[in-house]
Amino acid sequence: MKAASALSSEAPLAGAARSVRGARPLRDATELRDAVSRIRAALTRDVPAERIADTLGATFETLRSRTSAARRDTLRKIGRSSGWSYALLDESVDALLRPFTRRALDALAERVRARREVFGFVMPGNVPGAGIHELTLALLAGAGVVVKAASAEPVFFNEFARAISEIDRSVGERLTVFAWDRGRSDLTATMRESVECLIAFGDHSTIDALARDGRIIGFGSRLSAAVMGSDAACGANLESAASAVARDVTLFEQHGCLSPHQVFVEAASTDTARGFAVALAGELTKYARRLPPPARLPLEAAAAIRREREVARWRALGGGEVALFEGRRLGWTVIFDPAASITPSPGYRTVRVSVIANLDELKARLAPASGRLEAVSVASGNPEAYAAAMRSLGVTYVSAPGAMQSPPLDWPHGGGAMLELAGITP
Amino acid sequence: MIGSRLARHRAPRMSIHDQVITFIRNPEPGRFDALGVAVFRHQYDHVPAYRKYCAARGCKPSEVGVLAEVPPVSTVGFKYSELMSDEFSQEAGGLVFTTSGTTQSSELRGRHFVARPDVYRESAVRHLRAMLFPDVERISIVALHPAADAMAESSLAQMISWAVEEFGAPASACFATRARIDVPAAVDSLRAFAARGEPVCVLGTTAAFAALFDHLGDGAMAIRLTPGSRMMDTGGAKGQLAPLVQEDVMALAGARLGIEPYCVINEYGMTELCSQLYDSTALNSPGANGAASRTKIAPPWMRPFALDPVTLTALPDGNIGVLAFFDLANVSSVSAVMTEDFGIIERGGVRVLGRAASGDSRGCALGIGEFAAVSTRPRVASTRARMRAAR
Repeated sequence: MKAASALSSEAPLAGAARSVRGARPLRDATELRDAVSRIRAALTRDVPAERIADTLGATFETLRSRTSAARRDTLRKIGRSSGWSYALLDESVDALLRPFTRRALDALAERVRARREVFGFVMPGNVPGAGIHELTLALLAGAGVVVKAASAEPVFFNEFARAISEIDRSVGERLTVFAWDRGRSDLTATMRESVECLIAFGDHSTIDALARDGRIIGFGSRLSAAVMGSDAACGANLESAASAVARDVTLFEQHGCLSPHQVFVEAASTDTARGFAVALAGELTKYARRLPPPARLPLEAAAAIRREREVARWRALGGGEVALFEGRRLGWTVIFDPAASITPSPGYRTVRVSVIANLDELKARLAPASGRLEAVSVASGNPEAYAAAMRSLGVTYVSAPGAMQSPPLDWPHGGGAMLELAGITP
Repeated sequence: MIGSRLARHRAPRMSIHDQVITFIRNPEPGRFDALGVAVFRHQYDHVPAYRKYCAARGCKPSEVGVLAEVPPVSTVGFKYSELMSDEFSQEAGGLVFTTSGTTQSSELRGRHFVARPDVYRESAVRHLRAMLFPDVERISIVALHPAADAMAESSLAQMISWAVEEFGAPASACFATRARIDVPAAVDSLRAFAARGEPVCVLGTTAAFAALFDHLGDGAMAIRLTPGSRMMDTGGAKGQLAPLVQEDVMALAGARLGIEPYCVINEYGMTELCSQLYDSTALNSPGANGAASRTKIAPPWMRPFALDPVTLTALPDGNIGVLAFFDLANVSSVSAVMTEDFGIIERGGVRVLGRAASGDSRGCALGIGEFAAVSTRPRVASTRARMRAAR
């Protein structure tokens, strides 16, 4: 059954402005159990997968609509708490939601195995919308979902749930979003006891703590990078490649697991890679004008970026083959560090550029993060050669530069355990 | 008359180092800024790496009129560059101190080239007198850290040697080598002092005190040191599996050594600085409040700042920033030093909040700290490398 005709994708959210709010604070375990009971009751009312896909499609369309008042309010609210500029959030959320088209949702709905269960999601707070792939998959599979929104970002999923409810209440009844402090382990334990499967995002200490009392699907912290083939980082391709990488670095203020922290340039000489670093710095300058960095960085992040800069500056002064390119007020930083192996940066558009001679050297440079690599963008005339090598290192998403924040719906995030749960073979 | 005026004119102008020593001996707060700017200009002229750094930052000494305009050198600068004055000479008595390092290779340790150790000694001894020994001429010192003869590259070892020379009674002793602390022997010594009713001063890293407290255990093994006994710990969490916080140190010092809380003094210092800060307590600061409101006191020849890491400008008192210092006693290297610690300046004191963390929780994104913890390769950036647990 196609219910699209019955659904208005724009009306509920694009109309008069309404108050956007964060997830409801959970009072106690009883409230959580009651919510799960209501979701279970909702699951007894049959809703075909196609209708869920249509509802989600309509929801994503409204969330993608830049004229939607609710979207604008949501992004403003996230911007106020994160300090990120509205323009940056606008473009970042667009990138994240781009793959969630009706066609892609329909196609995925046809592949999922029905799960009449309730899943609990512990969402991360570093990036608005992180976890949307898995949440969408759960809903498409017909599962009910209770979400613990992160205290650092309690808005996105609450508004997502609201939007679903406003479009199709019978689907909306299957999703409830709460917020509680991570210190309330009693409430998290109650969620675990109340659901069939817990799906958690966060750093490894968070995942380990949650896994202590039973099996979970955990999405631990991961790292991403970019690779410029020898034909991509010079000549006519240089500017477009640098611009695309700058976009990947800039979106979400480099806070997600899909944000590249280091660019490896395949080149016979360091001059080529240095040229790429210069071009990347130029493109980050352009992005900083169009998508302004935060007016005020968090103190710890600012101190960490300052440290990275000072290390680079002093290594260069000490005669090291290092170069520092820096935007004003710590807005962006490019460190040309030819021999560096992969290392995470403090975020906020801080990226290293290094040189590799060949694929074997690339694998060696990525090895310190083996098993913790999420995405790698590849610019090359022969991307498949790189892609195969990256997959052998556990990379779950290989994309073109500029598309790193837009993985497809069947992205085997974290290794694909969630896809497996939904019966999907990548 | 004319002859004596000419003689005054011909008298050699006091060197910048001697001006600093004079200031340390007789601080005149109103002269600090002018002397500081003069020290900066001297360092610009004599420390080539600093001159290059200033140039890279677009700083011209002729345009620096106030201390706030002096570019601070991050402590990482001491690691990656030779911030050595052209006046430095080991043959002439210059000393080189290196930062501790447990997970990094030796070439990545910071080095502080001190061309004029006499200025360093003057600074260290005078502030020790004011903060740890204001009420005694000499007292027996028990050191839980090697002295300079056993660990010449350690600035803490050097300071312990100077403390023993200047303030130590004849029975003072050191119970540590480069390899280990002889805790049982130190305990025997402390029991002997207690039995004789003789007050003692115990010096060491916080980690060394943790080992001492652990050895003494609960109850029966405790020592009741004679009133007037005191201790100075430094280095914070470095080297400890379960770090003791200041409140723990004070409680354990009372329970296991019988030292009054106001005689438990924590020192904040680092290899890159020739001056140190100490807790203000009733021992050294009449009217000082309890442990909860302790601040650290810099000597009059050192000015602390809390910097905005974005702009590197000093924040108003009461705001959290990255701690930086202008230390006149660093006259023979670089005086404007930016640490990697957060802190607050309040009422002339410094509240140290700890290391500017890079291990922030980043949700699904791998952070620097977490990566460092899981990565098996040698790390360029070691946490707490500059806090001088074992200088």
